[in-house]
Amino acid sequence: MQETIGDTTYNWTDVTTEFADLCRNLPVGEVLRDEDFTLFEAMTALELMDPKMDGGMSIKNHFHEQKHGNRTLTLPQLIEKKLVKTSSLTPTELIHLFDQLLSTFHMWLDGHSLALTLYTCVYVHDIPIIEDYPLRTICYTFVKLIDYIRERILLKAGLFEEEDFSGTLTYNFPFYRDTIKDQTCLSDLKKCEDELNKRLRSLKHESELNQSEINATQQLIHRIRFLRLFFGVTLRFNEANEKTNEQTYLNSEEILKNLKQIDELLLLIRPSHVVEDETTTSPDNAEMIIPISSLADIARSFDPYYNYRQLPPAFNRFIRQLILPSCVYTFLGSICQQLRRMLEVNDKRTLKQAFEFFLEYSTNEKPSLFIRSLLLLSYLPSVQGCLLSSRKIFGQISFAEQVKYEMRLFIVPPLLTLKYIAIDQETINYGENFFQRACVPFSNLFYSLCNNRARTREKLSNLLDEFSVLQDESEKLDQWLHKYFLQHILQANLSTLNAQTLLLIEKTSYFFQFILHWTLLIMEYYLLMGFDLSLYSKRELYDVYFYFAQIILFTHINVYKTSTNLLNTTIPMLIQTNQKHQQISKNQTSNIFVQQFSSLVQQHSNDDPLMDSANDSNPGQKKNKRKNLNGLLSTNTDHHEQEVALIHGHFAMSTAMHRCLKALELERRLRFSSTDANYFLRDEIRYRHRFLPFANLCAPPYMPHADFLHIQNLSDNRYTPKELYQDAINNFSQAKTYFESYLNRLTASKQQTLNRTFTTNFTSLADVESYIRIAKTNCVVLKLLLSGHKPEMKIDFDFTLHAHYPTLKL
Amino acid sequence: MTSEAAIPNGLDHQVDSCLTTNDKNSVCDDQENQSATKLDNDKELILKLDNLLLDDQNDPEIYFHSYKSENEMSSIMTLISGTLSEPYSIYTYRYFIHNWPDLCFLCSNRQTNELIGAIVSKLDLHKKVLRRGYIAMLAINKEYRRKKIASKLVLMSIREMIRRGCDEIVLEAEVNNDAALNLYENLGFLREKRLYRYYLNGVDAYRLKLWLK
Repeated sequence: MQETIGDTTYNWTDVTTEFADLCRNLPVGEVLRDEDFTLFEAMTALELMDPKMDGGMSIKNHFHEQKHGNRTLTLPQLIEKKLVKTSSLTPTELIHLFDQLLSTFHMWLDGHSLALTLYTCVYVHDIPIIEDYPLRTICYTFVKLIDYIRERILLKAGLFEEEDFSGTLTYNFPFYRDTIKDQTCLSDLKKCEDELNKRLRSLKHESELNQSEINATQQLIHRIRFLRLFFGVTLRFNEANEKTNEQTYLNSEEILKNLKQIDELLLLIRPSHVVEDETTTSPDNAEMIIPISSLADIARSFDPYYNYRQLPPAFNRFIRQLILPSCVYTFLGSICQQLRRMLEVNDKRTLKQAFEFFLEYSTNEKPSLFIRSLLLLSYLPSVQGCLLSSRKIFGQISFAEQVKYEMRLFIVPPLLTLKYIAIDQETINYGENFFQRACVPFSNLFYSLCNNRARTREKLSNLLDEFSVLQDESEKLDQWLHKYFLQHILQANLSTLNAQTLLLIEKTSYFFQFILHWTLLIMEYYLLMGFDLSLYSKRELYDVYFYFAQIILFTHINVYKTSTNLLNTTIPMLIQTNQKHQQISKNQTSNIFVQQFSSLVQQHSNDDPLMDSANDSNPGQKKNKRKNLNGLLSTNTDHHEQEVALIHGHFAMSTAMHRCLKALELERRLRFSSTDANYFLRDEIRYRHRFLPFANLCAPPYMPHADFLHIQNLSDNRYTPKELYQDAINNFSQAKTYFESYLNRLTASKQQTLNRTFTTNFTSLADVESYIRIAKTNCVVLKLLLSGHKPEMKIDFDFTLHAHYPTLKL
Repeated sequence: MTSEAAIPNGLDHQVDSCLTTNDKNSVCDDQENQSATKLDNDKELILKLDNLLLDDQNDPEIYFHSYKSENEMSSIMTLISGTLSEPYSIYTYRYFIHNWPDLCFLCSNRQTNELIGAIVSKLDLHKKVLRRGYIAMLAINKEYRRKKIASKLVLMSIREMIRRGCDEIVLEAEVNNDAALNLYENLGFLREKRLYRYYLNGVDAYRLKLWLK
């Protein structure tokens, strides 16, 4: 029998009877298979005629409804049969088509396939034969918009996984790359807009005003303008200079201006709403009602089954209906909001600030793949053939420079602060090597933070391996500097130094401390993300909080102490030395490393710990009032003040948690136990696997389970439940105090500079407020338990206030 | 203000940065000890499982058995496709059950022989080094829920996997499926990762894993 589908005619032969006969020869349970085609391969097979699996069954029903037999008509065929209009479209028709295309765009951004979104519009398959100028322009623009986002943004950022985005498949759809350029679309849209404006003016001057036509034309103009601005904004991201293929600078001012215009337009646009009943009206005229009868000529313009045969069978997420325009416009409004917020990244001047921004942004905004890609590309724009680690921050600052600057801010190593010292070539090589290698994990850190949250956690665990290597490298650099650099260079230059300061400098492993600091930040975030994603079971809480407090946070507190001490002790000396040698060296910075980031230092001189104050005549006596990175006026001892307050807060919270968990266990107030008969996971095995990402690190040193138990024993097991409860209460109170002092300092500072996000390291303002409430509640509950209240009653853990720390519930 | 004044955390001596490789060596020793005790652990676990399975008084109405032939396939498919949200073709069932019939356990009604519950699993070499068990499907007829039938089927499957030398057992479960999550977590499965938008309906899933080694 013959069958025509589209342009092809098939000749089928029915073999059902022969097949059934042959099957009778197989015994029960026997299947026929080939060497290369086993049951594993067969899993992707589909059962013919199964309504869920066999695509042809759905199409069959669909075409039966359409009364056109088994065919998908192409655009030329539809035009020939006069089933669809391609010239002289009315404004209402154009508005409907526009809104539908916009809806497909939204759904594509959400992760649906091109075959089920944009390319279900028949017009898009053959745009050149469309006569109507506005329709043709609109179609081209949507195709170019999606193509640009796919190629220049999503693929360049490379952040997507299977679950986010199916856009790598293009099914041989036309993208008209040679037919029309992006900029041409923009100018064509402007032309359309101008022509429509002319038409609108003439309509308004007619003797009998056709109000509905006037409204429709106005609404169409708004939409075309919106599309032009939106496409324009998109094109500005990750723009590549076509000749040099280099990154062009992101003009965030222009983008913000355009976003403002888009916002205004969105207020004017009334989303269309197609109705069967002509008498339906929209409440407060918010929507533009379109009776379905006025769309008769374009009824076949969208066909969800158009590409069905190209899709793999049982394709997931089939779209039966496009999302309503009113929802789509709301969604676009929120995209603009997110974009505006995202552009704040341009003010982040240090790696720490950028890190905090990325964290806060991904937690609060829960951005889609599109926005996450834009964020990564705004911070680290892509360049042809260039690795992530060689990219420039904002397209301007070399990553290595930024890393060095960050080290200088954190711990003022002499190598990066003494301006007028000559460094030998070997030391330069060692140093430069290290800084270049450091770029890889640091740039990967930002990349990891732009993935969806579940994947971010996975990637962070891989990142810790990279950091463990970096820890080794940093130790080597420190050793080298101790042996050759400090002894020869330092003493020659620093005769004014007192012995104690010199000893401190010689004893300190500067670069190791810096890398350790960031390693700990990542470990902390990794651990807390486990809570955010609800991964930990109740039986693990004791070990998790204990590890968090006594191993990770404890180490981090010491790192901050070291850094603060160094900053306080050595900064005056470093400034003094620089000043002393300034005139002799005729202001020529001989330290090559300092030279490299001198522009960064100059740009942000207010933040520099070594701010050269010309009026600093008595360095020893006067307190040096500077503004620290938070824009707060501070004294010398206030380095890392906010960070330290928070980390002590976390330390106290976690310590309190593990103390009270131990007490609850001793009093048999827990609903579970690891020694249950049907619990098959051994503590030791769990410990090893859960903390596997931490196993390769140099510091904090990996502890075998036996040692871990030993420490837990020393820490908690020697005490009675009452003592443990009391200590937990004390710790929760301390936590509350630390967090409250953090909040007070924050609100007391009247300056809310652009640079401020409200996240310090991985803790946001909202987090802190929740922690305080949790600490308060837990104190109350613990006091009850301390007094022996209801000894039979078991305790529950409630994570609804905050995922990181539970409230105890009786 | 620190808590160290009240109770020392015993960690004061551990703080300084690692300048020795001693810790790495101790990890190696640990692993050797582990392989020596591996067999003992397995025997212990199997004993534990046997006791659990025998202990429970079986409801006389039901009986447990393992997969015997293709004749049972149709009822297995009906039961499972009726309870689970993901659609599977017959080949998916065949892949698991034909290759690992000993890891397919069933529960039926003694009188009517109606199939009440089924578990379908496999045991394979993962990335050439790890013996990984995988629980593909578990379904219990609505009328027979809350009778611990599911736990028993899972225990049977785990026992067989351990008997064959298994390093870990995994499965995926929807984030909202509290019944499944509780069942497995009470047995020692942990949520290893969260899988964003794992299911066809766009819902997230957890990868649950029971580490045995």
